[in-house]
Order: sequence, then structure tokens, then C-alpha cells
Amino acid sequence: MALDIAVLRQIPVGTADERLFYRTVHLPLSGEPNPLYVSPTTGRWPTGWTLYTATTATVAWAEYCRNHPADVAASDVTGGVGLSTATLPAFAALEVSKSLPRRALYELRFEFEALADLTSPWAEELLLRSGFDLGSFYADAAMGYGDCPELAGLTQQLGWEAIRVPSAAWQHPDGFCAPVFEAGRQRLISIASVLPSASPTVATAVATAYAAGERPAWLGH
Amino acid sequence: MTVLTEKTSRAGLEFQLWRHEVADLDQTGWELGHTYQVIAIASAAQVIREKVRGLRLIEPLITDELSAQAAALAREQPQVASVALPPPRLSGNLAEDVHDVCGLTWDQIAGVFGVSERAAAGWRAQGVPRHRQEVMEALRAIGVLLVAGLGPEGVARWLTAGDPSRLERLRDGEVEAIAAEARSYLDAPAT
Repeated sequence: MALDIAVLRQIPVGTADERLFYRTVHLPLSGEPNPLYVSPTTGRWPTGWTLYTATTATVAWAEYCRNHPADVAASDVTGGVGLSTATLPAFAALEVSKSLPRRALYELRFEFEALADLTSPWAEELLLRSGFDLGSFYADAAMGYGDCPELAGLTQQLGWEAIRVPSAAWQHPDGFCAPVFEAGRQRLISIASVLPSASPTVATAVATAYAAGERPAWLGH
Repeated sequence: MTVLTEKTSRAGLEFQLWRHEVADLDQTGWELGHTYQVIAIASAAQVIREKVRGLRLIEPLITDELSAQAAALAREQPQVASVALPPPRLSGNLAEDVHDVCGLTWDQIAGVFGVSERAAAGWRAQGVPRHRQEVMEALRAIGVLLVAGLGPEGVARWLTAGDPSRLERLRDGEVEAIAAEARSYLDAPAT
């Protein structure tokens, strides 16, 4: 069933509380990393140009881990023994990097004029009324990400520059994803390199939520 | 009375509220009672809405002890900074480039093609046979994509980990699938 765009138009849009957004960036063999690189029509919120950012660095790294579970699995630092609540503190600050490429971390400053915060109770209520299944925020790729791609396809008509949405990778009360769409490009104020080369910690990899059946065994349950 | 937040609307509701807030001196007692009843209902709705403000309809799913402990630790230190090592440069010699950038031994390269280690090592001087070039070029391109983040040893691990490993899948003809996996590192989509 198609989403009701008339209801979606009632979702409040405005400026964001956060102005800083985080993004991990591929390290090229030569030259500088490109923090604005996008692969068209990929991910949960596909449009012709979607720049995936997060409201915290932790969420950005969690999304990276969720994207590459096989490489997190191959980066086991416990030699197959695995982690538990008793051993996690000892391993928490180690890097997950054996088979997971290091990345640069960037901070992007945006001043949005039309950011739709889809995490507010009122927005969630309107999403429901529009026909959007809220479970879609956590739906796996194998399930086509639920209704998320359809909503992404309407963002241009809705005039949304960016959205603040739950992260399927970071299912904790703090931190969100913030996909930026074509209309939001002009709201970019500055880009700053935070770390030229880094890896997620074991703690981040453990705290990450993976798609069904993809959680690396050594991270424990 | 403000029930609606800024920039939101529900068709007709503002009018209804206005209508019932305006005192009508000609109203009978029953009509006045009705008016106040409607205002009271609207007020109650506002109170309920304010009470539930902050309660989200969709709640985070993770509640287990290990993940909660990890999340607290990850907030303190989400990443580890590392020193970027100078990556190898391409020489133009295809066999040497695959060997150096992908960190693979000649035996591992030979395994992709089902030839002897000596034969593969010989490609440095003799050149890669024409019918092997496409796969070797793909291997080099995959290495180029990953080596700055992993180093040659890490690229070798990336290629050889798993069962079947990516190297074995390359041997079995899954060149495009492995290349797509390597290219997926270019972006960082939410999934």
C-alpha cells in the first residue's frame, strides 16, 4: 500500500538541534579521502544522492560494523574464545581491524532548514497514519528495509533536506542516523577531519545490532 | 489553548477549538455545558499528549546485559586511532603488484589458477599469460581498493578468511561478486 503523502506533509520540519554529523570515510590508495562520496541508490534510504551521516561517531562506526559482519567476524581478537560480560571490559578498547579496513572519521556541519525528525512521537504517529510500518526502521536488507526506501523516494516531493531516524545498527536510546538528501547539500557549512585513520573498538562492534543471522559469534550474545 | 505544535496541523481542529472557546452569551445552560465539556475533553487530550511526550512508539530493541555494557563502553571510546602506513605503489608489473598489494604468497596466487607456485612466481619475469590477466587485474584492483585501510597483510586476510574464502570464490569465478564486496567499502550507507 502506498504511503499517504498528504499525511506525511504534516510531519514537522525545521532546523536541527544537532549541527554536527559524523561519517566514516574510505581510505584511498593515493590522494585524500572523499567525505562526500555516495553510491547512488544504496542503503536503507536510497535516492539519487543520499549522504549517510550519524548524530554521533559511535553510530557511524556501528553502521560500518553492521555493513561488514563477515569482516568483523574475521577480526576476532579472542582467538575464537569469544566475549562475555566478564571479559568485555578488558577487550573493549581494542581495535577491530584485522579484516575490516580502517577509515577516516569526518565531522560535517550542516545548518538544515528542513530536517524532518522522524524520531519524535508526533512524527511516529503521523508515519503510522500514512501507512508507514515503524518496524521498517529496523528491517533488514533481506526484507527490503520495509517501507524505508518508499519513504526515501518521497523526500524530494516533501521538501525534506535530511531526516533524523533510528539506526538499525545502534539500537540504544542515544544516537541516530541522519541521511542527507540532494536538497540538503546546500546546507553543508564545513567539513573537518577528526581522525585520518581509525577502526571501531571491540565495544562498538559488540554494541552493534546486526542483521538476522549475521552477528559474529565471537562478539557474544 | 495550544494543542498543536508549531508547523503541524489537523484540518478543522483549530476551527473547532476556536469555536468552542468563544463565549456565546445567547447560549442556554445546556449549550454552555456542552461547550465546556468539549473544552474539557480537548484539555484532557492535551494533558495526555504532554504526559506521553517523550515516549516513543518504536523503542530500541537491544536490552541484553552484554550489549548495554558494550554500549556504555563504546560511548566512551567508539574508535581507535591508528597511524596510516605508507601503502605500496603499483609497479606496473601485474604479478608483482598482486603479490605486493594483496600480500599474497605465490602459492596462494597459484591456487587461484590451479598452477604451480613456481609457475605463478615466474609470471614476474615472463608476464602473466593472457588468459589469466583479467582475474589478476581484478585481484590488483581489489587490493588497491583495500590496501590503504588494511595494509597488504590485511588484504591477504580479507581474501583468505572465511569458508569458502574470497580467494576460493575468485577461483570459482565469482570475480564480480568479490569486486562488489570490495567496492562496498567506498560508501558508508545505513543498512
